[in-house]
Amino acid sequence: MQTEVVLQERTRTIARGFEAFGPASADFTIDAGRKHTGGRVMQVGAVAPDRPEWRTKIWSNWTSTICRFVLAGVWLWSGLAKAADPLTAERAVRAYQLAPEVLVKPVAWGLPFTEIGLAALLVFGIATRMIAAISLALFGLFITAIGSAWARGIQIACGCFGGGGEDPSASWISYGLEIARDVGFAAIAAWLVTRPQSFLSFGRR
Amino acid sequence: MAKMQARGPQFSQAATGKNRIEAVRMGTSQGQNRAARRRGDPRRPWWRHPAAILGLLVVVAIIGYFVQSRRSSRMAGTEQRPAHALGPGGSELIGAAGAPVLVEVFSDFECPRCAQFQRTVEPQIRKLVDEGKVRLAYYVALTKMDSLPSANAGICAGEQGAFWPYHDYLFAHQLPENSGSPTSDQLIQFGRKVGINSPAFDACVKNGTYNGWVYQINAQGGARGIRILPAIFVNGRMLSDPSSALTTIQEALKAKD
Repeated sequence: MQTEVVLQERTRTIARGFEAFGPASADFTIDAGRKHTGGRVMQVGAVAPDRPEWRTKIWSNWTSTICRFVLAGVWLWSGLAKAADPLTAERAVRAYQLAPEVLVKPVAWGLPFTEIGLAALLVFGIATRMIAAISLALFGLFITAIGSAWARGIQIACGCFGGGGEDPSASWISYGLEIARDVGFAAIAAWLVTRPQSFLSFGRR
Repeated sequence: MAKMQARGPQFSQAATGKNRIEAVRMGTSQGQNRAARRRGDPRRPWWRHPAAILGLLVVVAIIGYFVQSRRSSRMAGTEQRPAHALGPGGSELIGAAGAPVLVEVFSDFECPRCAQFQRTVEPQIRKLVDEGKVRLAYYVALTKMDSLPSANAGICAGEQGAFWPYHDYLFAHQLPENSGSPTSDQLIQFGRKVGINSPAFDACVKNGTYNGWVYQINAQGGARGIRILPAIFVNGRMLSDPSSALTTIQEALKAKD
């Protein structure tokens, strides 16, 4: 009965809300319906707000939106560039001398596709926090790999956006720039981990 | 009220009236409630579950692996062995049969370091070849996918008996790095320049007849531990520095004497 008052057209989701919270009480019901209401408890007769509270934190939401698209762009670019040329990608991974030979090809050929997948999920804003956390972990991995190549005195190109392999012109400048760039990307991912709410997204986080 | 409490832990006793409403707000009430939500939220669609997302990414990676391995060995098994290439592993071989030292070179027509090697060290090796001291086996390998047409064209030229002049011409007219690769028409024109006037050569360049063979050579190189081109082997031992090839060859010749 209450459901009719509060949210007439959402009987299906209301029913699911009841499963979680027990039978309907006399004086309130739970709107577990559309994503923007975030499953909040409503007083009988209340009108579900068009704009949920979290959507009104404008500046941080917009920042997160921009971060999401920037990070998606980074992943898409790096993924496509590496997927375009499997031979070069293989050479680039091997040049790090980190992965054992059996893992060189899976990393060189699988990782770019994973990166494109991350980009796609970021564009749609699906599970933003988790994707951002995975991105952060990957950037950490990349920074470690470049740093270790630098420390071991191996002269290679990063191969982060295509190319890669041995590079006799590699110097502390190129390694430093590559690490600085990845730290920048990691900072974007870290922001999204702490503030995953953004506009133009599927779901809140 | 008693009815309410029976309903579950998420309904706090302290919370009444408006506060209670506040308290059961999703994700903002007590930790207990939050933990319960995290364990199994019936409203969270299956694709928002961490396992689903991670699984998706892993599946995408596996698909990528198979796509790329198909791409990089598209012709595996169907590769055509060039009849003229009689060197070890199907390489281009020159030199007297009785020469004491075998030098193997893995190189790419479009890699700048390979061109540098071809300019500086190779002429001296070729001199030793002419003197009958060295056999030179040349493997047309790849540093990048873009080099495939010219690598294939090199083998096509070999089929017409003009591998070495064509090889010299390609290196002499190498494009600067990152400015693309010669088209098949250009490669055919290069052939004309070194005196190859054969429709068979044109067809071979256009069809990429030996693409599979080049991949196969590249795989051989990988199996032999090549990490960078050019790679030079003297009597089967890889040199760490291509520019030291000549001294190593001299030492090998001395050891044989």
